[in-house]
Amino acid sequence: MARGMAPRVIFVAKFGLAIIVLYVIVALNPVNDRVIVPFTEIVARSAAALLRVVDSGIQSTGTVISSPTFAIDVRNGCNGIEAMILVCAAIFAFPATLRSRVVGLLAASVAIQILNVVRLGSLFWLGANHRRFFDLFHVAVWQSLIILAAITMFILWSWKFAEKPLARAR
Amino acid sequence: MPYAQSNVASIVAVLSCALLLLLATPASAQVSLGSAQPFGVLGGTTVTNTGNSVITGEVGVWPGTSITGFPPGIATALHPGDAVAQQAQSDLTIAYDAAAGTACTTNLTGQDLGGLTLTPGVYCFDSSAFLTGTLTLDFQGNANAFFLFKTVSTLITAPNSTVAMINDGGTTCPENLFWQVGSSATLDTNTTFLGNILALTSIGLNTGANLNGRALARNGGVTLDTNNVVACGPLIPCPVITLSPATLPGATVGVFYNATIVASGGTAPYTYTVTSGSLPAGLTLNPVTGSISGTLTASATSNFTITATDAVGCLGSRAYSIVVGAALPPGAAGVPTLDFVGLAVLFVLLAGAGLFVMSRF
Repeated sequence: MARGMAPRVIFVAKFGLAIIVLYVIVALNPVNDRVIVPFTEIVARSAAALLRVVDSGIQSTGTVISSPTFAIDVRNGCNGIEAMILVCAAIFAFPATLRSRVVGLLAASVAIQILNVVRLGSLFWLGANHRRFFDLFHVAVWQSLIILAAITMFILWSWKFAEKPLARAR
Repeated sequence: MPYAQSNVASIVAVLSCALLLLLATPASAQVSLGSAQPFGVLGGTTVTNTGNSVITGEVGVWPGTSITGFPPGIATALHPGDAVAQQAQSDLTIAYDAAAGTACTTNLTGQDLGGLTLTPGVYCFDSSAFLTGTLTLDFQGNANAFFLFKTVSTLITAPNSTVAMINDGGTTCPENLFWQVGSSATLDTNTTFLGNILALTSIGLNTGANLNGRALARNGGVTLDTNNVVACGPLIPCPVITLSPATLPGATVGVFYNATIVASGGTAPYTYTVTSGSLPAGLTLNPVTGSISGTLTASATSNFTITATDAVGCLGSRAYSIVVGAALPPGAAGVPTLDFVGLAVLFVLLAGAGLFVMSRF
């Protein structure tokens, strides 16, 4: 293997390994019960609080956001955790300083969660008021926006923050 | 930072990522006597006996050191201001605070307990609690049924009052019955009483009062006068048995529910039982695994207590509440952030972006 290829192979291997480790952690029953489910309830409550700005009759019970005419269930997979795992794994795998990584992890995680809460709020509003657009935004628009945001954040971080310290180190 | 050192930093970073996912759940109370379990009588300042009291259990005091009246009183062992009593007081404080923090299921303020028949639950008094006559506790066939009575102020019984059991599940000495008293407790002459009294200040048992349970006072003294006190359950120092999680997630009618209660701190294996209240309709508790599962059939809020019994008979109880929301309106569904294809696309793009940026170094 060419010497210059080694860091790239390590990056891909660490990226894949980190994804597996993080997926295993969140799949454990105690983690799911004590962390993921409460976290998902907070996500649902946050989205419901956002929605109550425009409709005071919207309730959140557990992971369900509901009104008399529409409801969504913020299940595992709807809480932005998987997108966070992928971005966190990429940031972990990318050669960078600890400080850069911590900044990247925090910024990316917070940004994805804010986006996801806005996503849930908008999908609920569309489902309650403009049902014909619900699937379009759920399947196409918001997935594209989340992917675009995640990849943009990672590129910006790796380009602007992670590269410089490594260049100095060399 | 050199690349090798960066690998260490990577581990720290991924742990930071995992920690970012961790959110503390609000604590809720649980009651476990811990090392106070062997004690029939425990005081904070003094323990004073008059007459031929018989204590089936240990007698201790801490931080005070004065235990008087033994003999003629009889006890399994005496612990005047020693380390055993100190640890028992420490665990008593934990149990007291846990009981004080447990949510009420029924408020009985202003009612005399005499003449009432109560099922397992958490009963509260905003001031004092009085017992004149007979209080009947329906254990509903469960010897470990969980009763908790909480008073902000005193607990006082009238002479010849009685706490009686029905459907007691075969027990004569209930182990999971607690009285959390905000100041002092007084059992007047010839009272026949049941349960573990956890008092902030003092406890007095007047002449001839009998207690199947414990008289545990945190800051004040315990006064005895020709009493029989029988500490229920195993007379060994029990570890504090913790039930996790502290709270359970909400549920929705028609949606499958699954959560698991896990006990720790004691000697495995544990047995889990619902000892007060009831689970929401449609849910069952697996006594071996602690799993609560099923499909909800009715909208309501259920309050209940789960007690874990370890291999040597030590107990730990925690009160839970599950809010069951109404069935979802038509159209309700999950809304995944990214489906499988979306995740795959993001994975490929992130890997590609990382390789691209690295190629520019």
